[in-house]
Amino acid sequence: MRITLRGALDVSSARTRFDELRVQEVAHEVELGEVDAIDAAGVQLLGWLRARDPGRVRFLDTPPVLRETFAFLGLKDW
Amino acid sequence: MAADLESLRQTFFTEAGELLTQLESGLLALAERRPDADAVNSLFRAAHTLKGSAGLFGLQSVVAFAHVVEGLLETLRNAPESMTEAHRKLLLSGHDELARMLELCGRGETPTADAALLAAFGGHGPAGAAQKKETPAAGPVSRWKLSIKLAASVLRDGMDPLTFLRYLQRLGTVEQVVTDFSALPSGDSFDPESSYLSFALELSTAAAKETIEEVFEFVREGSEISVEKVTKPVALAEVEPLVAAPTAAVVQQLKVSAPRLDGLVDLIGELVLASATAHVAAQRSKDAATGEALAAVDALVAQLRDAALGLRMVPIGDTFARFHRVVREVSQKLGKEVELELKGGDTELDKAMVEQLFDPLLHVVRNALDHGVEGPEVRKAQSKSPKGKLTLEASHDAGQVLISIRDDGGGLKREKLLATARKKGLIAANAQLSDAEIVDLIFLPGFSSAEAVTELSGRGVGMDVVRRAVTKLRGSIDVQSTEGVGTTLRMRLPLTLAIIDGFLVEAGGCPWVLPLKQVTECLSLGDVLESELHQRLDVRGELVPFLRLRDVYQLDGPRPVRESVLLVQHGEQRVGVVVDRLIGAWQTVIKPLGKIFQQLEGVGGSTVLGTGEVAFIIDVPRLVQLAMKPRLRAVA
Repeated sequence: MRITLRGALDVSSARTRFDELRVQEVAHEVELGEVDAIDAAGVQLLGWLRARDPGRVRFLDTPPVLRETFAFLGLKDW
Repeated sequence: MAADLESLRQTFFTEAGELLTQLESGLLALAERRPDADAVNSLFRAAHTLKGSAGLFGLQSVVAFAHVVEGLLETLRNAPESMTEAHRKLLLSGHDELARMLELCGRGETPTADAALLAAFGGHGPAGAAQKKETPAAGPVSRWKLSIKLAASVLRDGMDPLTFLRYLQRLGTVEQVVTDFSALPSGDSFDPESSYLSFALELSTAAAKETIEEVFEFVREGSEISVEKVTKPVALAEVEPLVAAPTAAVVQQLKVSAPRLDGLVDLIGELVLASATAHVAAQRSKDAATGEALAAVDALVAQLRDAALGLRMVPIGDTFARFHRVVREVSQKLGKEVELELKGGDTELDKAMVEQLFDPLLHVVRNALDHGVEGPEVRKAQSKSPKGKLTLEASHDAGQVLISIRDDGGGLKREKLLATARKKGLIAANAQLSDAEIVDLIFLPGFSSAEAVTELSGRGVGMDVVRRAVTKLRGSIDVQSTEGVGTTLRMRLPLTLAIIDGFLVEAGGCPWVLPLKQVTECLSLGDVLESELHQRLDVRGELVPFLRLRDVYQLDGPRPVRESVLLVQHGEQRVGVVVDRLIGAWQTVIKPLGKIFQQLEGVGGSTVLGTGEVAFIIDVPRLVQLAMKPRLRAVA
């Protein structure tokens, strides 16, 4: 399954997104091209998505602002 | 203890308001000139102090957002020349957001910073590639290992752990970060608003351990943070010396809450009254020694009164400065170019008055921008500069404060004013009005000559409200306007609302007080009477209108053989006030009028004399108006 996330991945939207995602089947392709900001809550949420099926979840079209954050946090395989 | 904490909280909100004003006026000033290190440093200090103070009161979301604003300012202060209009606008939005968040905190709510704004700051902030590192200290660089696990509530408190990690980049080089997700629960037990992440990182910096730990100062509670040195120090080949920024002269200040000051002024008011009573008693007892001693007490009480009232005086400059933004935003909305000039910002007046002045000033300024200053095309066609000018000016004048709002717009169009007033039935169709009376029409309730009701003004509920607000402050308002040249609106206000030096007189068997600063001369009526019929005095060749207090208020009783006249000044106008007897200077504690007397024309308040009698305080501006309109002289 493939899902697309949009807007800011942050604490203000994390609960809503989580409530939507947890009832869906595991998304193995997560489209991030339209995400424009991320904070630690967003990073955690992506971590939780990856943990649902370790090693098989891929992030697609990661925008520079997220790439920079992932690099800074040492998340090389994200 | 709880009361102490609440008092500290109130002080914090007051100071936070001042810091926000400092931030806003600094940013607005940068629209007019090139940013330099001093200007940006001043902004940085305001944001930094706000962040620190908010942290003391546990306002974590404010701390976090102030931290982001501070981050951008930190970057900019290292390269002030790189500050752009976009930075300035973003920082102004940051200011607005902080103001909004603090307002919510003041109401006991827990605000969340606007995510889009946070993202916008993220794009300009410390993560930006152009960011320069701060030189943390002149010393050897060490390698530190940090282990960071912030409290689970950190996200709910509005803080982003990443902001703190990124902040470390300003102290040196973050060599490596390892993010640990092992505490992340799986499945539905995951709470997306709790923080589970922990971080291990290596930092190379010359900063001391305490400095590194200070980064986490605002999130220490409930967090596990360790900072350990891991390698031998490496000497820096060159270390730029830190140059201490010149600091302004430090003036020691003590903050006192406004209610406490009000309480002090009230007590001094009572002291003035008690002193007056003692004075009367001494006069009756004809005890000269007591009289002399009381005269000394009177002098001290007067000094004490002036000192206490002085504590309440604040410069009007801060209120004026708020109009930079109003003018910029309103003129942009209207498609006009307007330059705002502020003069006399250090003019002081009572704090209560300053607070109550903002709304009337705001309305007048909006009116001037909406209806006064023309658009650039119209101005060009009239050979005017396409950029209009609005001037706010404050000054002292005859014991009052004079505030002028002047525009160089089209001025009031008399024919249009008359036509509107007739159309709305505000004046009779055949009414013959003087020029001053026509201009005065704008203050009539329901009057508006605007062709269309706009968002900004033109609802016809404005200028009468402005006049009422100014009158309530015992002030007056007038307008001078030349068609095609511009309009000047002037507000005259007393310096204080509490205690004044008065001049006590008697008329019709009643005591009356006139504000001493508006009394210019005392004369015998017989020496200067020019015409009883036309009620004119001849004062050294100048014809001055006069009125009798006993006539104005229809007081009975025989007139004295020798009447006295006080010349009072209001603006450029002089008027004679004829009374039965002059008593002399009197410290006057202003008490509000009872409801029954509030409609009494020309009376602005009351006071209690030493004998226990109540005296009315004359509202000189209104009395001058009455004197200039003979048909209105008798007040029902």
